[in-house]
Amino acid sequence: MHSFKAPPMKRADVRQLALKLRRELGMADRLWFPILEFAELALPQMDKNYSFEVVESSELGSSHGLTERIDNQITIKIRDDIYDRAYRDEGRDRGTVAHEVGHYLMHAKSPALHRHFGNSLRSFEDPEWQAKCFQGELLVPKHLVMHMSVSDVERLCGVSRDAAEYQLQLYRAGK
Amino acid sequence: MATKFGNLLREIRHTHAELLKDMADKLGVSPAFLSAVETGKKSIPAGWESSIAKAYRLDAMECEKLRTAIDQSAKSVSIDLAHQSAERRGVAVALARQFDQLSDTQLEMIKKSLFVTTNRKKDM
Repeated sequence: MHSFKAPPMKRADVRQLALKLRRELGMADRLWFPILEFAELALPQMDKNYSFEVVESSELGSSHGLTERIDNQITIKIRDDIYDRAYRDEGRDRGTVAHEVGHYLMHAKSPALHRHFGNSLRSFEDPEWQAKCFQGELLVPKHLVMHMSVSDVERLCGVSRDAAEYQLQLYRAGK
Repeated sequence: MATKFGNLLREIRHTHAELLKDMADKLGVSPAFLSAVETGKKSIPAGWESSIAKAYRLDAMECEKLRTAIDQSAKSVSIDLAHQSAERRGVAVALARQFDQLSDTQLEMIKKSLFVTTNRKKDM
């Protein structure tokens, strides 16, 4: 068994990346990030080698999404049921799309992922941890939510209750 | 990778600020089906040229662009053989069966006979 090791990125680095993206899009001060519009409409304009697809579960199986790189072509594939729910603004499924966008930004373009054998990875070198961290940081911007309730974060940022609780706990613990 | 037709549909969506789901609803299919057509995994359904033209009110030039994209991206061509003479049916079936084996010369001959007006212009 092996996993993939990514160049190290701690939460602070991932937060900076998410904030940089929001700033570039003029969305630094908005609670709601239109993640589907970004992945489907904006990203293809910014990167001609990128595309977005919705695929049937027969193709993705138990995976909710996948970021695939073939030569220089990068594709985010989202399973059809997840896509439908993300379209209806379900927090958990918006999170899945944001997770794949994280893989696109941090891993798919970088040739530096390499196989890692042996001990378990440290979290800040684990691409899965980095993408999970990115989805939380992008959808729940720390600088806007510190004094908000879990329910308000859930509703206004469009994330699951679990995600809202998790991010707020982190932020309030000074992370 | 999207086909030419797929790229054109993406352009139309971008112009109208629409997502796959919005366009799929207009065409009466699922977003996954539309996505598969765009990448050439599924054939372009018959009737989409007019459905798209109508749904997005394409003008003559845009319709022409759409037709060209469909021609360039189609994975198969169907010929309606109902009400055709035996001779015409025979030609269509023979062409379909032997299409892969046609030599360049044979292909050129067919092209010349089909696009005779183009050749005339070139000869002038």
